[in-house]
Amino acid sequence: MPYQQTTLLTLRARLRDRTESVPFWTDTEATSGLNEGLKLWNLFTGQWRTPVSIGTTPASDPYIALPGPLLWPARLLWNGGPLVKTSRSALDQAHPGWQTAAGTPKFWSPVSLGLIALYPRDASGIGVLTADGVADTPVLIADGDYVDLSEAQLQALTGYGLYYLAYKRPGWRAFLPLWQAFLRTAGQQNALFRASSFYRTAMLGDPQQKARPRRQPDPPPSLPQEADDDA
Amino acid sequence: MTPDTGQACLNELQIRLLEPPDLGLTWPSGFWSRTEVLWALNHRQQQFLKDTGILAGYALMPAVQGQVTQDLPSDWLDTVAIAFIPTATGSYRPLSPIDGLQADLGLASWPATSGTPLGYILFEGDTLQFKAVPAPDAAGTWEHLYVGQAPDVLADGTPGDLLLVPTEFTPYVLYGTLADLLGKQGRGHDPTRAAHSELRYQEGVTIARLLLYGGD
Repeated sequence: MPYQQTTLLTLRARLRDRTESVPFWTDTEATSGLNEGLKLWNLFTGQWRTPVSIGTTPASDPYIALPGPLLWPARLLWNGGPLVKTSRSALDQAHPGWQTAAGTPKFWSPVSLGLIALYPRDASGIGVLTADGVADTPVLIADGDYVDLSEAQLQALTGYGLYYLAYKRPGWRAFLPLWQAFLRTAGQQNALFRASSFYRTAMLGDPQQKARPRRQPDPPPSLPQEADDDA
Repeated sequence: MTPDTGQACLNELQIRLLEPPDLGLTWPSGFWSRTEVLWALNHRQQQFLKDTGILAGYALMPAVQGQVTQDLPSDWLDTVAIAFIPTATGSYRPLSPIDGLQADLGLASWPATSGTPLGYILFEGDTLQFKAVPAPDAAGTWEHLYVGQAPDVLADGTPGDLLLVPTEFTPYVLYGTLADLLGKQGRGHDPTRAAHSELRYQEGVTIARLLLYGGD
């Protein structure tokens, strides 16, 4: 199903459609849950991206602070050409004294979410650095506010919303598979996360069941009975 | 990166803990006090910043020539890297994180001699201080890449009373707070929910480190 613009009103209705019971939440709580799901989705997949031009770069400092609304940079371009991403420790090992080297920038390294290092520093002082990265997550407030997501993503989002809303009530563990489904869907777009040890831990199932194993093993699944033609 | 207000965070916690939401003013169940909820929230924010390093910054501090013990920034939480910049040359010399045993084995006379610093030792002296191995023998500057402390959130509606972490990471700080509150020995004790909330906090640490370092 193609991407579609789905409003907050529709998302809340889809939440109600996923349970048969009388909704155990308010509209405000549902909005909070959906917005939390959107934030986490953006973290895992970088769904909402934006290029930000930083303009001329100062030559006196190896570190450059990135402006909002960038959450974190995925790619940097110098005068339109891509810079190679590396790490600060790799620069220390391969290019001692990189902090003071000046020239045409070729490499960049993240230091923190909003701070990067360039090597070499811009010698001309008139270059243009463009950061292409993940932007702030859209926040749904009014009923008409919308997001542009595919059906699979909407399914994962409403599932996460339901898990969020059920957290406060007894029997909340029955909604854990919805959280796992959210992680699984996000993991399809983030191979690094899928390869992480946390992902394997999260997919292991209900920790309560692991902590209190049943005394009797589960019976083996029964084999399908063949139809008796002679009956 | 719009952060969340302290009041909004406490309101969110009230909803999750089945307390009447009033921006965190009252906690009528008596299971938790407003003070301890605030403490847990601030504690978890500091812990998240330290565990992930997502808001690491840098500072330049003068090096004391000939002295092993040097000062750290006053808002220091954790060190990412330290480099020594001699005034004469201006060239950066990154230091390796080591401990006392490594220093003793590598340079037995390090407490008494001076030279170009090669390593730094944390947590084996007074707080907010580190040891340079060996002490710098020339005037210079320390470049500290470090995680700084976030100002405590008061949740009293004061303008600017915001969490320091970006709003995308706020849910994980809240889950960590829930883990602390629900793990408390008392009438509100809920070990299963506390364990799951702690798992959610670790999820936030994992994704933050993946964004920064590409691996957990």
